[in-house]
Amino acid sequence: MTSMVAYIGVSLVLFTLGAIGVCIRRNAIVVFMCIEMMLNAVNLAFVAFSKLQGNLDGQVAVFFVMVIAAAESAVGLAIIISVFRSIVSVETTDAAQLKW
Amino acid sequence: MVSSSPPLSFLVLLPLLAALGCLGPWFAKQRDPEGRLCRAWSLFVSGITLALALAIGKAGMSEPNVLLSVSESRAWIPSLGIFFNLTLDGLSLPFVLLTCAVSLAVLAWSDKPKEAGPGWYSIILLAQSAVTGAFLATDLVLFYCFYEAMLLPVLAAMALWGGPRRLQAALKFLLFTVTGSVLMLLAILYLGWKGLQMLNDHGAEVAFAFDVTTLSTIDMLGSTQQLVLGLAFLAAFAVKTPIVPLHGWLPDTYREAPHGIVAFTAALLGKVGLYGIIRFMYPLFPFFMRDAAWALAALGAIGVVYGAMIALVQRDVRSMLAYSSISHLGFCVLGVAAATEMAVTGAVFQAVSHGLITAALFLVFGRIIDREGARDFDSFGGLAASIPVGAFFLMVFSLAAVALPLTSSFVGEFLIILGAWGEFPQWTALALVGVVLGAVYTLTAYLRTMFGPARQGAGTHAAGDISGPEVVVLGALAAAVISLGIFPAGVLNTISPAVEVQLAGLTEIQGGAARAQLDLSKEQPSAGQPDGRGGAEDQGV
Amino acid sequence: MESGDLRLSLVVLAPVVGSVASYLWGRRAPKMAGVVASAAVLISFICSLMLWSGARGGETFSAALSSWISYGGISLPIELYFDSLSAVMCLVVTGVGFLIHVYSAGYMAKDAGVARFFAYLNLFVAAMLILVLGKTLPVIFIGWEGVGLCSYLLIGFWFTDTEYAKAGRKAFVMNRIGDVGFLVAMAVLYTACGTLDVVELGRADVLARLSPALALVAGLALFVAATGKSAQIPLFTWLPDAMAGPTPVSALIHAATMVTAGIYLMGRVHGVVELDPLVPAVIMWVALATAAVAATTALVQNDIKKVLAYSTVSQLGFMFLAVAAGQYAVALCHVVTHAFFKACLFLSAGSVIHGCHHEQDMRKMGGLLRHMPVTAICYGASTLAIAGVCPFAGYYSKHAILSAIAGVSNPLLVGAAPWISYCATAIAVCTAVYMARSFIMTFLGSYRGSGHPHEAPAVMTVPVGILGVLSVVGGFLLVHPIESFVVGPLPATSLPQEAGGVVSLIVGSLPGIFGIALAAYLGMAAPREAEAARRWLAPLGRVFERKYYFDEALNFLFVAPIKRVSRVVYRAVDQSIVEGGAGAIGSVTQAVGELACRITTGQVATYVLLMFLAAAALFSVFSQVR
Repeated sequence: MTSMVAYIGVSLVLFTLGAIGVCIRRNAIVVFMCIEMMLNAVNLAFVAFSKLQGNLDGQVAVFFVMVIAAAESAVGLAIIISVFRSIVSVETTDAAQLKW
Repeated sequence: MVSSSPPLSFLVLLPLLAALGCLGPWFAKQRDPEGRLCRAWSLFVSGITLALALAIGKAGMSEPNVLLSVSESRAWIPSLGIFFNLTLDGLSLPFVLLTCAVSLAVLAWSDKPKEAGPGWYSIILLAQSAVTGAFLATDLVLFYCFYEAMLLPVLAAMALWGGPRRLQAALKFLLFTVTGSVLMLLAILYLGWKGLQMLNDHGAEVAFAFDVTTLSTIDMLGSTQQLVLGLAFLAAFAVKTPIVPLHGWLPDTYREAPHGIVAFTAALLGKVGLYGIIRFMYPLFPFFMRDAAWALAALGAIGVVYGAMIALVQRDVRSMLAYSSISHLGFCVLGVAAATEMAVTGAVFQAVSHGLITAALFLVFGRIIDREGARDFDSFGGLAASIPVGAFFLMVFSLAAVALPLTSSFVGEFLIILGAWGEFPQWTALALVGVVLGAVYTLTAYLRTMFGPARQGAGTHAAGDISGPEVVVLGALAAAVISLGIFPAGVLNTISPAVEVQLAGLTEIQGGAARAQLDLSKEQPSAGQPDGRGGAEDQGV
Repeated sequence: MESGDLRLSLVVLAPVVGSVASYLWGRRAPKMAGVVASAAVLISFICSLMLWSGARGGETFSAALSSWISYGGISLPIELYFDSLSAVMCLVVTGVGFLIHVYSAGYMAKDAGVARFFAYLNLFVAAMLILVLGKTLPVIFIGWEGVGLCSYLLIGFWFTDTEYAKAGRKAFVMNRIGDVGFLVAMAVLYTACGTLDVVELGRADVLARLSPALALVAGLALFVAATGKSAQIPLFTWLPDAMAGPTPVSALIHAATMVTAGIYLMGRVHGVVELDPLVPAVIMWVALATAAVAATTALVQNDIKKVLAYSTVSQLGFMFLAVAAGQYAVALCHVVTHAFFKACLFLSAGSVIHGCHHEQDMRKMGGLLRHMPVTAICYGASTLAIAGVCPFAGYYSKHAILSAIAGVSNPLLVGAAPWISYCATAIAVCTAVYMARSFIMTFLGSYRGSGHPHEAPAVMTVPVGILGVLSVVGGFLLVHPIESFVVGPLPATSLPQEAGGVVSLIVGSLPGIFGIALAAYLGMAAPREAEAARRWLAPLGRVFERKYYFDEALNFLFVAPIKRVSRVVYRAVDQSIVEGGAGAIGSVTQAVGELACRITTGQVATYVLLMFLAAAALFSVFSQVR
């Protein structure tokens, strides 16, 4: 059981760090990496719970997350590049045109 | 319940489907630019619905005094307890017939906005469908849907083909009515949830309960709840009727919308509000209605005088008609608030009569406005010689509007006065002041339009005197107004038992109170009073 | 037609059908309009005569035309009721009405709207017949409003003149004020007594259900109704203005129909009127004031029709004096004799106006006795009748009214009775003066107008002649003795006994004779004294001429304030508060929206933070629910 607490604890710490990073970092690429970190925190939790439950459902979900994360990074990086082309910056604070 | 009658949903669905049918030729504008085909088609369908409503009503009426109630129930969203429940009884029948008749009249009236094209007819048919649905629905959610759906055709017509300030007017109309009806929606949801709890407690396995007959029989609301929910319902109905001071949307709407739509709106939309009070508020919130009666009566009577006074100083024809509508509906509100069988029956009758008269007035004045190319009385005058037929019909409907005996509005007004006097003599007396003012503004309007020396240059515009189908339309409306004025008994016999059913809840709690009072008076016998009634009226005056 | 006497239904239906028929036929053949309309009224008259023979013996007839407002617990059919009271009214309405119709056929022959005219005229008679035959108050109200409507249509008959149309509207609105009184009375009576049947409302046990306060309200409300229709203070100014209509219409309104409705109503529901002694007292004072105001106003009018109009108002005041004294049969007698001589006066005046090429100003007439002798003789006979000179018709009724006042038994009036009597006598003198003045100015002296005046055609002179004869003998033959004039529906007439013989006849005629003599002296023998008197009374004369500034007062007190208040309410309440309220909903919505806009900063970090917070909130809520 103690190992479970450790796994979930690590997952929680990773997720929180990622979330804080998303909120406070300005560089879009770093924000992106923080998102990846949150996804991986979730993956860790999935695997841990899968082990605990004794079935493979959680591990299947991990594959889905990884696939989507890959797709997302492809699209996301493309967006960042096109944003950079138009405003010559990857700072999120500079890309603030989308407001009322 | 009469099994052989055609289902009521035909009354709602026929115009709806026909409206969609009208859209076809609309897209194929080249082949039918004037919309003649659409006109014939929509007239045909509207005529059929009128005949159908009459037939269903006739079939449900075995004897004059037997309660007529035809209903239809279909599952709509059963998992949420929402049913497609329609009921045609003595209360809804007059309103449904009015809806069909006024729609037919507006469709047959050939004036329409120039740019409207065939879409005009589908808009009217859509409106007819929604209003009919609102008059038939007994499921609260279904009623709410129809209640909101009524707005859309009117708004669309106003925004598309209205006057210069049409967008502002449409926005105002939308804001007012939706503010009211959203409150009603919240109350409906609460009622459904409460009904669910009550019914489940009694062992019934249901989802939610939204049917008004079911809800009113389970007697679940305390008086505080009735107050809050009643106010929410009243907000919706008071805006729609409109009850002063919530009438702000009405003058603008009536000024800006196309004539036909105004005739439709003035004749029908407000009536849904009145109908809603009788149909839903009396059975659901009897305590609230009892406690709020004096306030409603006061607002009604104030509305009569207020509307009449403001109509008196209007120079714009349609503003005058708008405020006169407020005044006439004030009478209906007074009747509904008095909650005696006679007053409420009178109010229903008066509402129907006002629908016929006001539709005709808007149509005739609309023609005059188009003919003269102006909309205030200062530019009219001396028209009687150049449009004699129009002058005749305008006279008939003006006199009907001032409630001359042997027209339908006298019957309604008279019953309201007799029925309300025992309850609220002071407010009835105030409303009677409006009778005088009503004569003043109506006859002044007629005088300034028709009488006086004929003007040079008048009548140069394209539209001439009333002729052709318009004569048929006005003739039919006039015949209805006068025959209802001379032979109202059949209609009154239909309305009255249904009204009694609606008032049953109120009568019950009043009966309890009266019994308590009677016990008290037995303990202290008062000398000099031949019976209990005389004493009560003394306090009244 | 559901049940009852066919003749009685025919009395009402004949003019209704006649109205439609004369319009439709008259549009193709204008000459037929008058014939059809007159025939319709004649049928009514004959039917009334047939019924009258039965009604005299105390028989009553009824007929139902429609079930009307009958459903559930209320039963108000359109039902007609014929007793000796309605018989008298019916005969006057149809009889005099018929003569006026015949006369109109000549008078209106050249008017373009003749078909419309006769349609209205017949409708007017029909409405009046419904009024006098109604068995319940609502049915009476049908006729009550009906005559209001027809007077509106007929007064404004020449509608291209805005002033005429406005006079019509004034008549309708003033009548409408009275109608509110009628509606209030019906509401009170129905709520308290549970019935609106006029026969039931005469029964003591039914009336006992009215509490004293309600009895007062009902009585006063009924009198308010009567003031509107019968032109009493303050609602009398419409009647002089009603002269805008064609002259036969004036005759119909003033003599046979409409204005007598108030008197009839008082008689019909006398039980309610008498419940509270304050009501007759109010009627007495109002009637006296009306009679005095109208009589003095008539003294200074120069328009021949205006003189007659004010004399009608004054005579109606006399009738109400009798009503207030409780002698309804006496009032009814005056209705009958007044119908004869006033119709004769108006029709003669119509002939004069017709003969003088539509001149109405008496200063431009004079000497017409030579040019139109028949008319002059009839006018003269009616003048003697209205002055109350024996043995002309007016003497019998007017003398009875004066005795009735002297014998009043109302506790609130007994003390003042002698004074009221003196005033009434003075007004009677006044009546004789202004009527004699109008006769002298019109028919004596020399012609002062232009053109050649001519006598009217026979179709006009014959009805005038018949009415002239009736003004002479109608009193003695038809209403004398008053004690047995109408019995049954009205309370018994009891007038103070007086010494019979020639002396009393002469004494009774004295006010009239004196007045005529005075007018003759001033007008013919002593023009210089007349001029002096006129100058001396000039300030008073101005007050008379403007009918005591009643129009101005009503305008100042009611019309103008209502208009002003309406405008203020429109601007201050409707335009600002209500419209502002609408605006407020809009601006509140907008303000909330603008506040919400602040959240969308465009910063990704803010959005993400919000997302996390919202997710956390949702999780915590759901964990609570579970």
